[in-house]
Amino acid sequence: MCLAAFVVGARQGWVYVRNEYEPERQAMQRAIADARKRGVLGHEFDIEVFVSPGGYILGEETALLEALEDRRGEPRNKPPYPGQKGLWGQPTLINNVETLAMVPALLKRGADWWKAQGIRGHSGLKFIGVSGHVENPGVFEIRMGTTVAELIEMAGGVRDGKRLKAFLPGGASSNFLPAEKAAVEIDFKTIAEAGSMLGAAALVVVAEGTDMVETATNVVRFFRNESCGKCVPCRVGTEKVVSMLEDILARRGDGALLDLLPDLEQTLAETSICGLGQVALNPIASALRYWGEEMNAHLAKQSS
Amino acid sequence: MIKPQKSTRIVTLTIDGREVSVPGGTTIWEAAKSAGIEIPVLCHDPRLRPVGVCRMCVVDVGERVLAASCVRQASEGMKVRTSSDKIHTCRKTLTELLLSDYPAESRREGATGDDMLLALARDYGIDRSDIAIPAGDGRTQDMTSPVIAVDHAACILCDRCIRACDEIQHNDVIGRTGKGYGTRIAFDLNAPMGNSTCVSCGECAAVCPTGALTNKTLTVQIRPREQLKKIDSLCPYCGVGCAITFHIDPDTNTVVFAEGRHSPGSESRLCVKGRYGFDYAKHPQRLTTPLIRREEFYPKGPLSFAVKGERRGKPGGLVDYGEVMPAFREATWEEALDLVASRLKGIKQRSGPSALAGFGSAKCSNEEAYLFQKLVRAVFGTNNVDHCTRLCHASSVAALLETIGSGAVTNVFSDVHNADVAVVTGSNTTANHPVAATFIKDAAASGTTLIVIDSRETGIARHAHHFLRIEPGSDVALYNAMMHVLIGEDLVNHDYIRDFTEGFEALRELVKKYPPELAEGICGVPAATIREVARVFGRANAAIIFWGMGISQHTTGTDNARCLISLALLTGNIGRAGTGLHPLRGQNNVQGASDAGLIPMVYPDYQKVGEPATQKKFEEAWGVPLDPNPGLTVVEIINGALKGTIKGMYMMGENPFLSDPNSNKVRKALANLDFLCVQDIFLTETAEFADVVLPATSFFEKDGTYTNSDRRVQVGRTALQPPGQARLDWQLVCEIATRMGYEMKYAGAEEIFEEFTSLAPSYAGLDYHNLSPTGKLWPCPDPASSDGKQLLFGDGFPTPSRRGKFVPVEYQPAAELPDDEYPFVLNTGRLLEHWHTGTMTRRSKALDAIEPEAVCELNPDDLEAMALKSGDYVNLSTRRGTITLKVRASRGVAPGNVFVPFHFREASANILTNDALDPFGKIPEYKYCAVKVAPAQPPA
Repeated sequence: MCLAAFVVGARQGWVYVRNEYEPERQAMQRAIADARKRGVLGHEFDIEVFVSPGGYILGEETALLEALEDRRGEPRNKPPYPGQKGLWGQPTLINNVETLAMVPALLKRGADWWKAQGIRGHSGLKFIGVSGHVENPGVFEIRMGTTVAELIEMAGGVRDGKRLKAFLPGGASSNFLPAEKAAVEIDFKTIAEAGSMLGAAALVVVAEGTDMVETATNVVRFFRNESCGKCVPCRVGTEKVVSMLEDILARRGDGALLDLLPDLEQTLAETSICGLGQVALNPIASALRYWGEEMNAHLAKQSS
Repeated sequence: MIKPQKSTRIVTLTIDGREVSVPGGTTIWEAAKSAGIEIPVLCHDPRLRPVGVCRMCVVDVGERVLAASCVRQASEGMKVRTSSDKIHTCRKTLTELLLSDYPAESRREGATGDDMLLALARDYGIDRSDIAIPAGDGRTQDMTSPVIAVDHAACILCDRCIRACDEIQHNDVIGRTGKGYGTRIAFDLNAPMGNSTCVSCGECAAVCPTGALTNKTLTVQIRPREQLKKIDSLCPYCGVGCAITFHIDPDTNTVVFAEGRHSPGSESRLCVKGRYGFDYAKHPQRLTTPLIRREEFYPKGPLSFAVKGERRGKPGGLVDYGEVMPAFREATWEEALDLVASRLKGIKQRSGPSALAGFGSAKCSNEEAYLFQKLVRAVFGTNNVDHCTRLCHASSVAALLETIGSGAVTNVFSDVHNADVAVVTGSNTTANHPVAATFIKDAAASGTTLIVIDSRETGIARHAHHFLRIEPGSDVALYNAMMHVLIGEDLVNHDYIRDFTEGFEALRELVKKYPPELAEGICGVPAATIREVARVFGRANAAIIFWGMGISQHTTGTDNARCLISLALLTGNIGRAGTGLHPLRGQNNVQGASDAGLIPMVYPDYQKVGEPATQKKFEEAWGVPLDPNPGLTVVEIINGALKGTIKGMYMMGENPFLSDPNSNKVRKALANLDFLCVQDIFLTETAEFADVVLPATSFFEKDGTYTNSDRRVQVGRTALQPPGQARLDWQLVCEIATRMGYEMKYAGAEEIFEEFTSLAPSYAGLDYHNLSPTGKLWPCPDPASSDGKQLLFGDGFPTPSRRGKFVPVEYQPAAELPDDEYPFVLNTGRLLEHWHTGTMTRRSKALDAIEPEAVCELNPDDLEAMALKSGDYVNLSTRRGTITLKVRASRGVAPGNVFVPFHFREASANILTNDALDPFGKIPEYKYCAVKVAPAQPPA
């Protein structure tokens, strides 16, 4: 952070930590106190820890800025981007801790070293959170270019020895990919080419036997719950899709959703203010793309 | 409102294939509009900061996703498509999403008929019954506000009401609560609207695009504009003079609803009185027939128990006509007017012209004021003509005329946004000039340092950067100390003092005696704060001073105003943008009525009585010899009536029984008159003492010009037909003049205005034609191309020396100080919802519903010490009388003080007030006397 501040000429930095991460906050506070004692911080540049009031949407950079300014955590319209007009209207550099943490190693060891960390022609290292149906969920540091299948093995393989059915390579908002694509090499470009995105670098593993409509509904419900409510498409669209999906799962729905979904998906993707609304229907749309027959099976069971 | 900065850079973009050039910073939506391309939008209104939340205005700018055109700035070379299949699908889908939860009946379609969501649905050909998206579980309604209906089911969370409340009116009541789909607009911390701190200005309902926030029916059933007649007019209440469009139902001759209309002085904003207080004109108690007092009700005296001063039964708001009407019989106009003319003429013949007097009204038009003073001067033959300006800013005007040669404001209130520092002193601006207050609050939110000085912590104080709570009546000490600091620390403008002022040496010598430490002991403001605030004021490049009755209504009112003028002169804060002296004028036409000559010592346009050339000018114009002696002022006339030297009076629209100090004395004085003619729209407390009562027209029933606090002359238009036989005020003045032997005949208000402007140089060039649609500021040397002169006296003053004069004054305490028997200090004033003697507002359904009964305010610590709580009854007693009313706890009132609004006839504040006068302005000391507080039994 000090290096970044030096580059952009910032005088004040903030580390934004979710309120659930108390040990991490304490560690950061200790590190800052230590840096102040050593004279690294507190003169040209200083760092303050801001404990987030909570909320998934506060990970969106402009919603984060709003929260820092003591307002409702809702994303801003962009442009202007934070680099133009950020905190308190001033140009603001925002990066993940991971990105900033890579900088000293890169500077010390050089670009060639960094490139050499990747495999299969990819560069560098990457932290990936692995969750879902695996034996040992957790955060793994991998060489870029590692395949999804290899990563699942690093996490102890699919739970209970089951076979892989599907995975989300980049967190809840990335498209589901079927097991056949598990050979994809992990990098931004390759995963995009496979039809999804590396996004938040959070691999969610789905084992065989899982109902994909239920799973997708659960993910869309998550976005519905985390929608800030600022813009119409996300606020109303996510709720309506969830309510239609829940009706189908409860056997009281109709086929309207399948007709409505293309327009809703386009509207949310094109008109939502931030990424949350833009991608909120990706899980159900991609699930239907690969497992449409599961939806048809549900629809056949409707009582109406 | 935060106004985006437009640069001088021009950007050129292409919209739907057309090249459009706009200033940098313009949004795509605005650029398209300028090119005649309408982009649908729900959440944006040009008066508001764009937020881009409805997403209806999305356009294609060739990026990854569509862009909201209301927030996206146009950039050089940008290629914009405002329509395509994709855009159409998105807008239609958004409309369907919103409609899926929309109530079957939108309250807006029933009210103003302009539901924007339903209009969009029609544009997209959406049949609501075809929408496959499931409806939600519905949401609640909130009907707790007396004026606004809240239907959460129709709320699309467009944020307009929130921005209108926060950024236009700066009331900060509305926000959002909840999250995601559960988000709702909320009042305060999610209180019902009627229990919240909402001040019912109605700006939220005015900007709401759907049926979520709509005006309730106040008169006949509210309905769409197309079914009603539109009259562009003005607000009848305060000196801000907001422009209003009244929507009239011609069949029932009723105002159905009111809307803010664009004008430089009000920018379409209104307050609760302007937006919801129009229905008094249709109240069943309107006078419709001339009335003559019956023989058996002589000798004259009060008729209703409230005016008699008795406490009987439940304190009701309005007079019971059953109690007062038996004293009068109906008469024909011929009989009534003949009687008025013959009685006034008889008194003039027997006792001389100076036994007659007239009170005009600052509620009447310039034309009516002009004719009224002409009647008194040319027909009665005396200068005994005055009006309620005597009771509000007489002392301010006395000081202004004495020091800078002109009694009007030197700058308009909206120019506060150009000020570095604004001082608001002795003004409860948010209650008494609510729309002017919005401009001050707006400035304070966007860079102007606001200094509020008051003995009460009123609404405007909440927006202050520095709030100085001073001891009542200690103004001079504070301002002398501020000037002490300014001179001592050399924060004065030497060039300005040298070039534009006189008398500086004497001021410097006097304020030397007022170090802040001395002033602290008098005014209670810490010396360090006095120094700090003086420095803030002295260092400002531009500072503007607003003041109200807290300055003027003291026996030292003129001295108080002299100090404020000296502060401005000392620092050169007159005649430039963001500077000036602005006494906020009370009534809608107090400026105009004064301009028109309803003042005993000046003819129209402040031309002095007693100056031979002026007298000759008016004698020639009016064709009769005039009295060279200045007349008596309001309180002097009442004293004259008590002594018997004033025998006959004509009152047009004034209610001195409630508005003048020391009512018990006023009661005796009015009863003592040989003859009193009261011309009004209701049978007022004063009319109970009348021999003849003439039914007149309300503001809504006549054409006329009105001059607001900014000097803006605007035209009020006939909206309603007068009830019964009620007649135009100016016609009645003409009838009386003619019957007294002086023929007065005019074709209409325009002709009277023409005569007035020919005699009033400040109004030269103005006529009904060039005053439309938003009026002009006087003076207006070039009415064809100019809005009038906003800034006065940048190049000297209309004084003989062309200089502004410093008048140094010593601090003097108020006339009646607290003692052991009367330990509290009484302060009187107004409430947001009511107007003066309540004649109009207490007959307005909405205003009466919000503040239905007499109330006084005390500090909760004082209440606790007396074992009282909000809602208990107290007796307030002074050396002049006692009233009984409810008490309300207010931290805004300092310990040791009592605040009583003077609107309530059943507990009239002026029973208590002291009629001691300021020696220069002859204004009574409404803001200070000694009072005692005692618990009382609630009325049976």
